[in-house]
Amino acid sequence: MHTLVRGLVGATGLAIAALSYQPDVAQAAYPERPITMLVGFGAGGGTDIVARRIGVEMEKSLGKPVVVINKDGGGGLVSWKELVAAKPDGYTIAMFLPLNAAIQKHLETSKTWVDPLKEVRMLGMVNEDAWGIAVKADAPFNDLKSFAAWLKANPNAKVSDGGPATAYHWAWVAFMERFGLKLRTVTYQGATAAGIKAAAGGEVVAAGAGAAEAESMVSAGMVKMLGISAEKRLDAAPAIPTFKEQGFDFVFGPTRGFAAPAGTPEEIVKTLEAAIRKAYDSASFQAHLRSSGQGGFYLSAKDSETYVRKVDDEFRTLIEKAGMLRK
Amino acid sequence: MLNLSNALTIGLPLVLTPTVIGLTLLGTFIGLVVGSLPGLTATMAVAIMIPLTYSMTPQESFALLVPSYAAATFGGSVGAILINIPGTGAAIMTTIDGYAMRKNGEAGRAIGLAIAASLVGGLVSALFLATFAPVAARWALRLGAHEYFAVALFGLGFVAYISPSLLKGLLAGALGLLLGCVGNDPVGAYPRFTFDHASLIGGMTFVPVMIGLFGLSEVFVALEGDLSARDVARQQIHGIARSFWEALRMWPTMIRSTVIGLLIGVMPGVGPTIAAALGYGIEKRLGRNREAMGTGAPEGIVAPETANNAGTGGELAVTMAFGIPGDAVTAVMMGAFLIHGLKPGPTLFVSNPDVVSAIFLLFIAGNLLFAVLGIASLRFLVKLLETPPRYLMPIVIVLCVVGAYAASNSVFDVWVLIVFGVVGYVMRKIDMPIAPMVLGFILGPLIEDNLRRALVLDDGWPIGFLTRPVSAVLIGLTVLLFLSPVLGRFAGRKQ
Repeated sequence: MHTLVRGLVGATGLAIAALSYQPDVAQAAYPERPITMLVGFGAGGGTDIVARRIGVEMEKSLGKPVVVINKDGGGGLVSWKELVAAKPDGYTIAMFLPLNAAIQKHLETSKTWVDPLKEVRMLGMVNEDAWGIAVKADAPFNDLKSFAAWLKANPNAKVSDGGPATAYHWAWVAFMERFGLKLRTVTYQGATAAGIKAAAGGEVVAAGAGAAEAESMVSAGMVKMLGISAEKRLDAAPAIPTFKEQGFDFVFGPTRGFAAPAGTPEEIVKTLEAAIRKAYDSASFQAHLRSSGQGGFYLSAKDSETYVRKVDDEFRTLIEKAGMLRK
Repeated sequence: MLNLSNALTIGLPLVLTPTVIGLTLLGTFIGLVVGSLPGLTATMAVAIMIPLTYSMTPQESFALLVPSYAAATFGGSVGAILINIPGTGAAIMTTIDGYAMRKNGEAGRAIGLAIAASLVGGLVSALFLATFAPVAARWALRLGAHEYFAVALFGLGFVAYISPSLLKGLLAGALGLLLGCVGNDPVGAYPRFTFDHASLIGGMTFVPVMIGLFGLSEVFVALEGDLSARDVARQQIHGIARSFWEALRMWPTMIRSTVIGLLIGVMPGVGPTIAAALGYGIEKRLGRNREAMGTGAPEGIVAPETANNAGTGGELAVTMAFGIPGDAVTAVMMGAFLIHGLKPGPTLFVSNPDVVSAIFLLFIAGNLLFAVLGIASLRFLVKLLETPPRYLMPIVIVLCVVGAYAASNSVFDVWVLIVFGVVGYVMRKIDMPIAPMVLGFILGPLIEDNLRRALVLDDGWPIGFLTRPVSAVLIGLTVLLFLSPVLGRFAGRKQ
């Protein structure tokens, strides 16, 4: 009994020591100690999987461990607040979702948002999951054209999304605005799958969903995809036409990349950028993209900065037009 | 399509390999240990193992995860009985009579009953999962916003209704609902009671709130006196066989609870929690031994434990059928599917019958193994309670803090834990029941989310709740619950 107590006390002490261990910082040859990668979503989710797949490959080229820490909350915000509070020394980086960050900023989901234009330094983008539209399998339309015509005849039809704090909500808003449609979005928080189930059960007429997210329900004959808003058809789902092919010039998709705190030295940014690029090109990550249906999308550090500015602009306009700009 | 016999023929060769059997044992053991430590939960058991499974085959990874999920869920009930800290929402109702039995020196008997009830509920539910998964999926597809709202409201109403004091029960439930409002609102994403704190955007985390209210407050109560002078409650080791037999003799209770669990389990997330609440509540109203419920009645353990485990199979079926994770644990489990390139959804049953069969068998194996391990460790677990409080209490505090922090690696959550420890202490002092508050906190967001969704779907008209049969019946029953004292008095006067 007493051994157990001592064991527990000892183990707890060790755990606390391990948590508070902070080695001396000296900038000799970066990196000389493990790098922390913050992930603002739970272990096992889509974001976490991309982060860990890239992290494992980065370890190989950097020669130091990349430790993934999940800091769940606020659609990524909790992890980004921690990122921008960290020393800009290259030992703390984070998975960064520019669309989420822009929404948080302009919708002001919290007064303490992180400014993607000022507070972070982008290291590169690695993934894009194109948005698409799924409807019940026996719905009377088979393509976007007939769907749009039906929506014109049935204004205020209900469609599912994840709520205004998510990119998929603004996908519908942008889609409506671009093509002059009137829809009512209904929030299904947490999982796109819940929205797809609602479409299959007839609660809503359509669900916003990526091809990978809807695939299983599609092949079970419960829903069908009218299209995806990607530049070109996906390798993982070649049967689904793009919006563009159907005459709807609309490209939209949540993207994922990496960021360091603003003020990180240029050489370190270069090293990390190269490691991310190499990880993206690695056979194992490419194989993952093919098998999982998560989409590939690479941008260099510099292009990512431009991209983040573009996203910020787009969402500012979208949110302003919706009358929800809280600045 | 998958059925029982081909589940065995496809699944058995896959799971009967030395590696898979070894991992199953390991998973069950880790799940049981983590799940029964106060403050640590099933979510944590699964979450700490998931990064280890990234490089395994699907069978190996599920061999580690599925049994640990089953064992940790049961472990949560052990914590509920031993230290009054439920590991999961589904174990909340078990604290009421379980902890009372432990105080009477009957912890061994209580755990034995919980093992038997969990095993029966879990096995029935596994068979159900194997046989009726498609039926369960169709049933789940028919349940929409209106039905979710009505079920959650009914579950919460029932828990308040069976409280020793209806007023205090309602008050605690209402406070729980208020706590559930913290976080950005589901329709407009507008911050509510977040005090500009990013950690509160998604609402308060369940684990620290729960272990604060249940666990830390318990420690505070114990600290009132001189710890070293406190007597240790001697625990009798009850014959396992007797506990088992005793539980099986309550077959009417078990059947009631199993049916409830199977019907409500298909609601991802809250299924097992509401099932346990209703199982307990119905027992308290209709059971033969209803007078003793709340003071350490064996039915108070058998009813909720059968119901929540009967719910797990349905929950797993729906998670797999639609890819909708119900709670933090199943969300983590879903991640395991994606890691291996498997897409949860209706076609999983057709495209990967091997994986589904393996999961089904591993789920059964997990249920049987935790029963065996639970029985083997019973003597030790019960002896643990005889640790002098001056050693036990500090350990409980450390584990509570570690558990609160580890749920999302957040120091903020440790503060939440401490605040709710104090709140729980005050509630105990004024005899306000804690269970309705925690249930209100869990169900509040669900009630709000579905109420608002239903109203948006019907363009603001509430009539939809009464035109759909399932929700109309449940709302009718909820109204009856609250009118029954008045009606009873009225009837009494007439006589």
